[in-house]
Amino acid sequence: MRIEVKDLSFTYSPDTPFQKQALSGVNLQIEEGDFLGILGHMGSGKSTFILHLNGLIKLQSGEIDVFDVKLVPDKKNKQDLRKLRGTVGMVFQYPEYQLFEDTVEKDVAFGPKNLGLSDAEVASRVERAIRLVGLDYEDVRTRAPFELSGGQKRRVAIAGIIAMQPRVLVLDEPTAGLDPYGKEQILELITKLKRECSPTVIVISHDVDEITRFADRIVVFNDGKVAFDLPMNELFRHSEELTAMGLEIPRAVAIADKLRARGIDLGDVVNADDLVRAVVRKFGHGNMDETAISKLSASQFDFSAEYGGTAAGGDR
Amino acid sequence: MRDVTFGQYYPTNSVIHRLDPRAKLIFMLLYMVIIFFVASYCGYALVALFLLTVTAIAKVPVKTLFRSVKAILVLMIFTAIINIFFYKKGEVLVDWWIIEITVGGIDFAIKMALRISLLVMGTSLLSFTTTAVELTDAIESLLKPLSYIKVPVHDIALIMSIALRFIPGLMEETDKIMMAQKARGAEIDTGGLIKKIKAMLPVLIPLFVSAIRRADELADALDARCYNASKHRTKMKVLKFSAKDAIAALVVVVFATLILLDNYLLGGLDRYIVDFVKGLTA
Amino acid sequence: MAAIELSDVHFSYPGAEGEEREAVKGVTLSIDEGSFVALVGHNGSGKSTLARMLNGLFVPTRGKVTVFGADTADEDKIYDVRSRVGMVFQNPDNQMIATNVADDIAFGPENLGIEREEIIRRVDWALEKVGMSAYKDGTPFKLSGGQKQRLAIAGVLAIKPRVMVLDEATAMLDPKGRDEVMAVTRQLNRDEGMTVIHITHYMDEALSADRLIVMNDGLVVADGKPRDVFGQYGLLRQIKLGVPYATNIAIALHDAGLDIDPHIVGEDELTEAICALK
Repeated sequence: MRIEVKDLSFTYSPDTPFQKQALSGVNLQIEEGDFLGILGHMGSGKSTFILHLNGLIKLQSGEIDVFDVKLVPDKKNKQDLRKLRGTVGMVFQYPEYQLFEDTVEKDVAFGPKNLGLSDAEVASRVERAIRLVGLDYEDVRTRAPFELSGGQKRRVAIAGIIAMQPRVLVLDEPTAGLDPYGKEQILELITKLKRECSPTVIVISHDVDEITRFADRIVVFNDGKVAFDLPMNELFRHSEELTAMGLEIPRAVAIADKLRARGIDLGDVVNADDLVRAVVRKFGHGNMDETAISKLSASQFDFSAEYGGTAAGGDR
Repeated sequence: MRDVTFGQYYPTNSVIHRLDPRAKLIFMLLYMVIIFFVASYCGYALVALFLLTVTAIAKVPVKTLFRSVKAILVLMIFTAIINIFFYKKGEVLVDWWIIEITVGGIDFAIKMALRISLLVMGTSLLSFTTTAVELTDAIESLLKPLSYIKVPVHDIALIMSIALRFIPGLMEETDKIMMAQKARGAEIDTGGLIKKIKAMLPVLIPLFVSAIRRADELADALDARCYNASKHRTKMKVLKFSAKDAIAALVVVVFATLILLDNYLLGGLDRYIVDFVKGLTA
Repeated sequence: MAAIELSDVHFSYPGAEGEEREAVKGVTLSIDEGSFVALVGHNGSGKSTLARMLNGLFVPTRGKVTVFGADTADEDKIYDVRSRVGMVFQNPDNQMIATNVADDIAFGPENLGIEREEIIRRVDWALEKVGMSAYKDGTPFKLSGGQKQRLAIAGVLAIKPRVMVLDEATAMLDPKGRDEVMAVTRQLNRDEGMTVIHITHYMDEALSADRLIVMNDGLVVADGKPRDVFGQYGLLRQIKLGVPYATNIAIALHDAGLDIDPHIVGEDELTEAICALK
């Protein structure tokens, strides 16, 4: 089971003065179980690519096969689209802006209902989803989404997608606009969702420091094409090319590069955790064994006690 | 991403694009009035020639111009049929049951269709060559005299320009929300009218909330930038009537005169041509 | 001289009897002219509410805010206050009025009734200050988030304020856009002597400020040089703010038993400290 994209091209507003090619000849396979990060600056084609996976953009040329649902140009098949939407869950940027029902429970139920599930099934999925995203089910189910804080609203919106039990979860800038604590909470949540709900996760982010926290594999879009498709620890060996594409280098990589220039080689370091572990391994005087070192973390906040009980408050 | 120049602006930066929008707006009004004075097919030919010449100078493809008529084709055919059946004048061509078609009816129907299509193509040409913002500026400037009788012209213009400024954003937002709800399995474009309206709620409610939030933020931004601070608000951009506008005005006046000449002095050139052709054949 | 003074400022959002929400609960501060102040706090800490009281968008429900001596509650002086304290907001798309860059920047001075020639001069000047002169005749929509915020800054500059408040102006930007905005504001502070109050929740952006004020639950809980404030990292984590990137790593290394000072603030300092371990 996998997602296979062959020779995908797409042009916005074709045959007008505003014509703009967004994708040209993209080939990509995403395996079940991948934790994929997608990088690329504005207009690189990454968002257009993602929209194709859910059939939200009409295919112009190429082929897409998402877990055996096949899409080809000029073919309309509602059955396929419905199946696709149950398979790929899309969490858009600022997903809380799509909430519309008067209670959290009803809003989360919108997706599963559209899938045509029985009332009992919908109800049990809603409860599970709300609990999964770390909200107090009994407390929030009958509350209006608009009463909740920013971080809580975002989690309700994510629950709305989770309740459809997608096998692939796609998140576009999931932490945008949140404060540091809210960001950490969402990152924790994504890791948890991959483990307990959707085994394949695709995250778009322009914050490399964030994406390097969890992805196993990174695809870089540039100019409508796939510029890199590498395991994460190998990607930043191409720092110069990435910088030339206008992308940032993770701060941990920059620090490791500086240290290398000073004669300290820490090996492949991509995130803060790696950096801490590599430095301890090198200079720790052997007071820690490898198991202890691999448990070291640069995480600022501890979520082990209460996962997300207190969300960041609303703005203002 | 959707394009900000919503409407039909067709950017070629031709001399027509660069005319003073106020001049263009006045020409447009004149053109609309003049079309109702066209009396003969020769007159229509002249209007068409004028329109095509301007289109060529504006570097807008004729195909694009014709596309604007396509949108109202159904309406035009409907009007034509009504005219053919109900306008009765001159020689009867068909007389069957309750249907009676006259030469005059056909003549009238054709002229009416020409009139509508030339009108639509003309207004489209204005929107191809003038941005919505330029039009707002033009309207504000032309309405200026009204501010002496306490009409809040500037506020009206600001409301119009903010509307123009936010419509593309809201359209983009609608797109995004629609996609988000479709991704949640919403079937927005199927079913009957009631079903469709109901299906639109998941889009309309968030859109409404978003519009209010934006308005709220914009209000703060307007206040922070001293909106209403002075009774004597100044303006940086001044529309200037230049030589090319004068030349354009001259052309439009000549065109209008020719049409009026055809109507009043000659009573329609067609007749003379018909007589002339008849004379030849006889 | 103090540019802005707040004395025991409170603010409550209106609500039904007994349901008013008090967002700012007694803040006393004095902001020096020419300083670069970072104001941090998590979402809901009251920092944005406080920001809106600095230029009279909100008037304190109790206490007093004065801007160069003018009370913001004095309705006759409100435009003096607003022309002295410019404000850049969070969402780049919701603070632009015009569809053309130059027109948008001219909006403020037009409102103040400034002469046309002077407006043209100011527009050019403001665009140059934010490094956007090349975009003068363009439309703002096709610009990146960072560029849009620089335009918003130019729009504020054209009013010629003496204080610029950035109310989470970097929150919706990508890292590159954040850097652009920070570079422009630092430059304004240095070259024009502009007093800058930068409200943010990115701790790294507070590193280079002259002064760091931390808010939590409507109150100021720490105030001082950034280095000293970051030294109280226990408190910062407890109020869900965290510390800058390099400090965070230094703390982790320190906790792992290495000889690293947990009060390190910059990446260069961290590099040096790790090199010193050799």
